[in-house]
Amino acid sequence: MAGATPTTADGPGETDEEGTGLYLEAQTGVAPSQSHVFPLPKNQSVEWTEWFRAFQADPAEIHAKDYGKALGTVEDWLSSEQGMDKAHYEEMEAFFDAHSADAPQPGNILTHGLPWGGLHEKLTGRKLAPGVVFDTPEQSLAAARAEGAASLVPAALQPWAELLGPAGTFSNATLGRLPGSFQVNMTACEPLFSLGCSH
Amino acid sequence: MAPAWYSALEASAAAHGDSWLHKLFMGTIELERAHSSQAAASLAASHKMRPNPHAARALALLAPTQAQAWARYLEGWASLSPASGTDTDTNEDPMRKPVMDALAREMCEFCRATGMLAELKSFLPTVPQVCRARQQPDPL
Repeated sequence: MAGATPTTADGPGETDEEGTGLYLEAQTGVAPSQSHVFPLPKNQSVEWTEWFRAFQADPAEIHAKDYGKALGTVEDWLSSEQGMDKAHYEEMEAFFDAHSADAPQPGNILTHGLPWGGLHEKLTGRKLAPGVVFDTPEQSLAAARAEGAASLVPAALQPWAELLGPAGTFSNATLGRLPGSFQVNMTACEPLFSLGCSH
Repeated sequence: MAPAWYSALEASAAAHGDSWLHKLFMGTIELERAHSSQAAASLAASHKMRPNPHAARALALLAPTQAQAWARYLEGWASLSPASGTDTDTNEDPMRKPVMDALAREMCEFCRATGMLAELKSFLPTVPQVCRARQQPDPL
Protein backbone atom coordinates (compact mmCIF):
# COMPACT_ATOMS: atom_id res chain seq x y z
CA MET A 1 0.00 0.00 0.00
CA ALA A 2 1.47 3.33 -0.98
CA GLY A 3 2.36 5.47 1.99
CA ALA A 4 2.19 2.61 4.45
CA THR A 5 4.93 1.88 6.94
CA PRO A 6 7.40 -0.37 5.10
CA THR A 7 7.09 -3.39 7.32
CA THR A 8 5.45 -6.74 6.88
CA ALA A 9 4.12 -9.41 9.17
CA ASP A 10 7.07 -11.55 8.21
CA GLY A 11 9.76 -8.91 8.53
CA PRO A 12 10.62 -5.50 7.13
CA GLY A 13 11.77 -4.76 3.67
CA GLU A 14 10.28 -7.63 1.69
CA THR A 15 9.37 -6.84 -1.86
CA ASP A 16 6.01 -7.35 -3.47
CA GLU A 17 6.03 -10.28 -5.88
CA GLU A 18 3.54 -8.63 -8.20
CA GLY A 19 5.16 -5.22 -8.14
CA THR A 20 8.18 -3.57 -6.71
CA GLY A 21 9.10 -1.82 -3.50
CA LEU A 22 8.05 -2.22 0.08
CA TYR A 23 4.59 -3.18 1.17
CA LEU A 24 2.45 -3.67 4.22
CA GLU A 25 1.10 -7.17 4.68
CA ALA A 26 -2.34 -7.27 6.27
CA GLN A 27 -3.86 -10.67 7.03
CA THR A 28 -7.02 -12.12 8.37
CA GLY A 29 -8.55 -15.57 8.47
CA VAL A 30 -10.39 -17.90 10.78
CA ALA A 31 -8.91 -15.97 13.68
CA PRO A 32 -8.41 -12.20 13.48
CA SER A 33 -4.68 -12.58 13.07
CA GLN A 34 -2.16 -14.74 11.26
CA SER A 35 -1.68 -16.78 14.41
CA HIS A 36 -4.78 -18.87 13.69
CA VAL A 37 -5.15 -19.72 17.36
CA PHE A 38 -8.73 -20.47 18.22
CA PRO A 39 -10.75 -23.09 20.11
CA LEU A 40 -11.23 -26.32 18.21
CA PRO A 41 -13.79 -28.79 19.55
CA LYS A 42 -12.50 -32.30 20.05
CA ASN A 43 -12.61 -34.68 17.11
CA GLN A 44 -13.27 -31.83 14.71
CA SER A 45 -11.23 -30.09 12.09
CA VAL A 46 -11.42 -26.71 10.40
CA GLU A 47 -10.35 -26.10 6.82
CA TRP A 48 -9.93 -22.81 5.00
CA THR A 49 -8.49 -21.55 1.77
CA GLU A 50 -6.02 -18.71 1.86
CA TRP A 51 -5.29 -16.30 -0.94
CA PHE A 52 -2.96 -13.36 -1.35
CA ARG A 53 -3.30 -10.32 -3.56
CA ALA A 54 -1.43 -7.07 -4.02
CA PHE A 55 -3.50 -3.94 -3.55
CA GLN A 56 -2.46 -0.33 -3.94
CA ALA A 57 -4.82 2.07 -2.24
CA ASP A 58 -5.22 5.81 -2.23
CA PRO A 59 -3.40 6.93 0.95
CA ALA A 60 -6.02 9.60 1.58
CA GLU A 61 -8.77 6.98 1.70
CA ILE A 62 -6.90 4.29 3.56
CA HIS A 63 -5.69 6.75 6.21
CA ALA A 64 -8.99 8.65 6.44
CA LYS A 65 -10.03 9.69 9.94
CA ASP A 66 -13.27 7.81 9.35
CA TYR A 67 -12.13 4.16 9.60
CA GLY A 68 -15.30 3.11 7.83
CA LYS A 69 -13.99 4.84 4.74
CA ALA A 70 -10.83 2.73 4.80
CA LEU A 71 -12.88 -0.43 5.25
CA GLY A 72 -15.16 0.59 2.40
CA THR A 73 -12.16 1.14 0.13
CA VAL A 74 -10.92 -2.36 0.82
CA GLU A 75 -14.40 -3.87 0.44
CA ASP A 76 -14.87 -2.10 -2.88
CA TRP A 77 -11.56 -3.49 -4.09
CA LEU A 78 -12.37 -6.98 -2.89
CA SER A 79 -15.59 -7.08 -4.85
CA SER A 80 -14.10 -5.47 -7.96
CA GLU A 81 -12.48 -7.25 -10.88
CA GLN A 82 -9.10 -6.50 -9.31
CA GLY A 83 -10.08 -8.33 -6.12
CA MET A 84 -10.38 -12.08 -5.79
CA ASP A 85 -12.28 -13.68 -8.66
CA LYS A 86 -15.21 -15.37 -6.93
CA ALA A 87 -15.59 -18.13 -9.52
CA HIS A 88 -11.88 -18.95 -9.26
CA TYR A 89 -12.07 -18.96 -5.48
CA GLU A 90 -15.06 -21.30 -5.49
CA GLU A 91 -13.36 -23.57 -8.00
CA MET A 92 -10.34 -23.86 -5.68
CA GLU A 93 -12.56 -24.42 -2.66
CA ALA A 94 -14.32 -27.29 -4.46
CA PHE A 95 -10.95 -28.80 -5.41
CA PHE A 96 -9.67 -28.63 -1.83
CA ASP A 97 -12.94 -29.98 -0.45
CA ALA A 98 -12.67 -32.94 -2.80
CA HIS A 99 -9.07 -33.72 -1.86
CA SER A 100 -8.64 -32.63 1.75
CA ALA A 101 -9.02 -36.19 3.02
CA ASP A 102 -6.48 -37.60 0.55
CA ALA A 103 -3.33 -38.55 2.40
CA PRO A 104 -0.25 -37.10 0.71
CA GLN A 105 2.37 -39.46 -0.64
CA PRO A 106 5.81 -39.31 0.99
CA GLY A 107 7.22 -37.58 -2.08
CA ASN A 108 4.66 -34.77 -1.75
CA ILE A 109 5.86 -33.74 1.70
CA LEU A 110 8.23 -30.78 1.62
CA THR A 111 8.92 -30.33 5.31
CA HIS A 112 8.26 -32.17 8.55
CA GLY A 113 6.71 -30.67 11.66
CA LEU A 114 7.21 -31.43 15.32
CA PRO A 115 6.75 -35.04 16.43
CA TRP A 116 3.82 -34.73 18.85
CA GLY A 117 1.03 -35.69 16.43
CA GLY A 118 2.75 -38.94 15.55
CA LEU A 119 3.50 -39.68 19.19
CA HIS A 120 -0.14 -39.10 20.13
CA GLU A 121 -1.31 -41.39 17.35
CA LYS A 122 1.05 -44.10 18.59
CA LEU A 123 -0.18 -43.67 22.17
CA THR A 124 -3.86 -43.88 21.26
CA GLY A 125 -3.60 -46.21 18.25
CA ARG A 126 -5.89 -43.86 16.35
CA LYS A 127 -5.32 -41.43 13.52
CA LEU A 128 -5.97 -37.81 14.41
CA ALA A 129 -7.39 -36.82 11.00
CA PRO A 130 -7.89 -38.81 7.80
CA GLY A 131 -5.96 -36.52 5.45
CA VAL A 132 -3.11 -35.66 7.77
CA VAL A 133 0.02 -37.75 7.84
CA PHE A 134 2.19 -37.61 10.92
CA ASP A 135 5.62 -39.16 11.01
CA THR A 136 5.96 -42.05 13.41
CA PRO A 137 8.17 -41.31 16.44
CA GLU A 138 10.87 -43.46 14.85
CA GLN A 139 10.74 -41.42 11.64
CA SER A 140 10.82 -38.17 13.62
CA LEU A 141 13.84 -39.33 15.58
CA ALA A 142 15.68 -40.34 12.41
CA ALA A 143 14.91 -36.99 10.76
CA ALA A 144 15.98 -35.03 13.86
CA ARG A 145 19.24 -36.93 14.12
CA ALA A 146 19.92 -36.23 10.46
CA GLU A 147 19.61 -32.52 11.26
CA GLY A 148 22.55 -32.81 13.62
CA ALA A 149 23.37 -32.02 17.18
CA ALA A 150 21.48 -28.72 17.20
CA SER A 151 18.10 -30.45 17.34
CA LEU A 152 16.64 -31.05 20.78
CA VAL A 153 13.83 -33.16 19.38
CA PRO A 154 15.61 -36.43 20.25
CA ALA A 155 15.92 -35.36 23.90
CA ALA A 156 12.24 -34.46 23.96
CA LEU A 157 10.91 -37.45 22.07
CA GLN A 158 13.23 -40.36 22.87
CA PRO A 159 11.88 -41.25 26.35
CA TRP A 160 8.29 -41.37 25.14
CA ALA A 161 9.15 -43.26 21.97
CA GLU A 162 10.98 -45.84 24.07
CA LEU A 163 8.07 -46.16 26.46
CA LEU A 164 5.74 -46.97 23.57
CA GLY A 165 8.33 -49.01 21.68
CA PRO A 166 9.13 -52.74 21.78
CA ALA A 167 11.22 -52.47 24.97
CA GLY A 168 8.38 -50.79 26.84
CA THR A 169 10.77 -48.95 29.13
CA PHE A 170 13.61 -46.44 29.13
CA SER A 171 17.06 -47.30 27.84
CA ASN A 172 20.16 -46.79 29.95
CA ALA A 173 21.15 -43.92 27.67
CA THR A 174 17.83 -42.16 28.32
CA LEU A 175 18.10 -42.81 32.05
CA GLY A 176 21.49 -41.09 31.96
CA ARG A 177 20.06 -37.84 30.63
CA LEU A 178 17.50 -35.23 31.52
CA PRO A 179 14.18 -35.50 29.67
CA GLY A 180 13.42 -32.81 27.15
CA SER A 181 9.64 -32.91 27.44
CA PHE A 182 6.85 -33.88 29.78
CA GLN A 183 3.59 -35.45 28.67
CA VAL A 184 0.74 -34.85 31.06
CA ASN A 185 -2.00 -36.28 28.89
CA MET A 186 -4.49 -33.60 28.01
CA THR A 187 -7.39 -36.03 28.19
CA ALA A 188 -6.98 -35.70 31.94
CA CYS A 189 -7.67 -31.98 31.66
CA GLU A 190 -10.82 -32.22 29.58
CA PRO A 191 -13.18 -31.99 32.60
CA LEU A 192 -11.44 -28.75 33.58
CA PHE A 193 -11.74 -27.36 30.07
CA SER A 194 -15.43 -28.29 30.02
CA LEU A 195 -15.94 -26.40 33.27
CA GLY A 196 -14.14 -23.42 31.82
CA CYS A 197 -16.32 -23.41 28.73
CA SER A 198 -19.62 -23.76 30.57
CA HIS A 199 -18.97 -21.21 33.32
CA MET B 1 -5.24 -41.46 37.80
CA ALA B 2 -4.80 -40.15 34.27
CA PRO B 3 -5.36 -42.52 31.38
CA ALA B 4 -2.96 -43.14 28.51
CA TRP B 5 0.48 -41.81 29.48
CA TYR B 6 0.06 -42.52 33.17
CA SER B 7 -1.19 -46.01 32.40
CA ALA B 8 1.72 -46.57 30.04
CA LEU B 9 4.18 -45.52 32.76
CA GLU B 10 2.49 -47.75 35.35
CA ALA B 11 2.52 -50.73 33.01
CA SER B 12 6.15 -50.15 32.11
CA ALA B 13 7.22 -49.89 35.76
CA ALA B 14 5.29 -53.05 36.63
CA ALA B 15 6.80 -55.01 33.76
CA HIS B 16 10.36 -53.72 33.74
CA GLY B 17 10.92 -52.08 37.11
CA ASP B 18 10.73 -48.52 38.36
CA SER B 19 13.25 -45.83 37.55
CA TRP B 20 13.81 -42.21 38.49
CA LEU B 21 12.33 -41.26 35.12
CA HIS B 22 9.13 -43.28 35.66
CA LYS B 23 8.69 -41.58 39.02
CA LEU B 24 9.47 -38.15 37.62
CA PHE B 25 6.98 -38.45 34.78
CA MET B 26 4.29 -39.93 37.01
CA GLY B 27 4.85 -37.27 39.65
CA THR B 28 4.54 -34.57 37.02
CA ILE B 29 1.22 -35.94 35.81
CA GLU B 30 0.00 -36.22 39.41
CA LEU B 31 1.02 -32.63 40.04
CA GLU B 32 -0.82 -31.45 36.93
CA ARG B 33 -3.92 -33.15 38.29
CA ALA B 34 -3.51 -31.47 41.69
CA HIS B 35 -2.80 -34.73 43.51
CA SER B 36 -0.13 -32.92 45.47
CA SER B 37 0.56 -35.52 48.18
CA GLN B 38 0.91 -38.32 45.64
CA ALA B 39 3.02 -36.06 43.45
CA ALA B 40 5.32 -35.18 46.35
CA ALA B 41 5.86 -38.87 47.09
CA SER B 42 6.61 -39.75 43.47
CA LEU B 43 8.90 -36.77 42.96
CA ALA B 44 10.77 -37.45 46.19
CA ALA B 45 11.24 -41.06 45.09
CA SER B 46 12.55 -39.89 41.73
CA HIS B 47 14.95 -37.45 43.35
CA LYS B 48 16.15 -40.13 45.76
CA MET B 49 16.81 -42.62 42.95
CA ARG B 50 18.73 -40.01 41.03
CA PRO B 51 18.98 -36.37 42.08
CA ASN B 52 17.52 -34.35 39.23
CA PRO B 53 16.54 -30.71 38.76
CA HIS B 54 12.99 -31.38 37.57
CA ALA B 55 11.95 -33.31 40.67
CA ALA B 56 13.77 -30.91 42.99
CA ARG B 57 12.19 -27.88 41.39
CA ALA B 58 8.70 -29.39 41.65
CA LEU B 59 9.36 -30.34 45.28
CA ALA B 60 10.38 -26.72 45.90
CA LEU B 61 6.96 -25.63 44.67
CA LEU B 62 5.32 -28.07 47.08
CA ALA B 63 7.54 -27.25 50.06
CA PRO B 64 5.70 -25.90 53.12
CA THR B 65 8.24 -23.17 53.92
CA GLN B 66 10.44 -20.86 51.92
CA ALA B 67 13.55 -22.26 53.58
CA GLN B 68 12.60 -25.81 52.60
CA ALA B 69 11.78 -24.64 49.10
CA TRP B 70 15.19 -22.99 48.79
CA ALA B 71 16.89 -26.15 50.02
CA ARG B 72 15.14 -28.11 47.26
CA TYR B 73 16.18 -25.53 44.68
CA LEU B 74 19.79 -25.87 45.79
CA GLU B 75 19.57 -29.65 45.53
CA GLY B 76 18.26 -29.27 42.00
CA TRP B 77 21.03 -26.85 41.15
CA ALA B 78 23.66 -29.18 42.56
CA SER B 79 22.29 -32.05 40.49
CA LEU B 80 23.15 -30.06 37.35
CA SER B 81 26.78 -29.82 38.25
CA PRO B 82 29.05 -31.74 35.83
CA ALA B 83 30.47 -33.51 38.88
CA SER B 84 27.06 -34.93 39.78
CA GLY B 85 27.52 -37.79 37.33
CA THR B 86 24.37 -37.06 35.37
CA ASP B 87 26.26 -37.58 32.15
CA THR B 88 29.72 -38.24 30.91
CA ASP B 89 31.96 -35.43 29.77
CA THR B 90 32.32 -37.01 26.38
CA ASN B 91 28.58 -37.33 25.86
CA GLU B 92 27.15 -34.04 27.03
CA ASP B 93 23.46 -34.03 27.95
CA PRO B 94 21.83 -31.62 25.47
CA MET B 95 19.19 -30.61 28.03
CA ARG B 96 21.64 -29.72 30.76
CA LYS B 97 22.35 -26.15 29.69
CA PRO B 98 18.74 -25.18 28.85
CA VAL B 99 17.54 -26.63 32.15
CA MET B 100 20.35 -24.92 34.03
CA ASP B 101 19.39 -21.62 32.44
CA ALA B 102 15.70 -22.04 33.29
CA LEU B 103 16.39 -23.13 36.86
CA ALA B 104 18.80 -20.25 37.47
CA ARG B 105 16.16 -17.77 36.33
CA GLU B 106 13.51 -19.38 38.52
CA MET B 107 15.78 -19.42 41.55
CA CYS B 108 16.65 -15.74 41.09
CA GLU B 109 12.98 -14.85 40.77
CA PHE B 110 12.18 -16.94 43.86
CA CYS B 111 14.79 -15.03 45.90
CA ARG B 112 13.54 -11.70 44.60
CA ALA B 113 9.89 -12.50 45.32
CA THR B 114 10.59 -13.80 48.83
CA GLY B 115 13.19 -11.19 49.74
CA MET B 116 15.86 -13.86 50.25
CA LEU B 117 18.57 -11.53 49.05
CA ALA B 118 21.38 -13.06 51.10
CA GLU B 119 20.63 -16.41 49.44
CA LEU B 120 20.54 -14.71 46.05
CA LYS B 121 23.90 -13.10 46.72
CA SER B 122 25.52 -16.42 47.50
CA PHE B 123 23.76 -18.19 44.63
CA LEU B 124 24.60 -15.82 41.78
CA PRO B 125 28.36 -16.54 41.67
CA THR B 126 27.55 -20.21 41.07
CA VAL B 127 25.65 -19.40 37.86
CA PRO B 128 27.90 -20.04 34.85
CA GLN B 129 28.55 -17.15 32.52
CA VAL B 130 26.78 -18.98 29.68
CA CYS B 131 23.49 -18.71 31.61
CA ARG B 132 23.96 -15.01 32.33
CA ALA B 133 24.91 -13.92 28.85
CA ARG B 134 21.74 -14.19 26.85
CA GLN B 135 18.18 -15.35 26.60
CA GLN B 136 18.13 -19.03 25.71
CA PRO B 137 16.01 -19.95 22.71
CA ASP B 138 13.00 -22.17 23.08
CA PRO B 139 14.47 -25.70 22.99
CA LEU B 140 11.87 -26.78 20.43
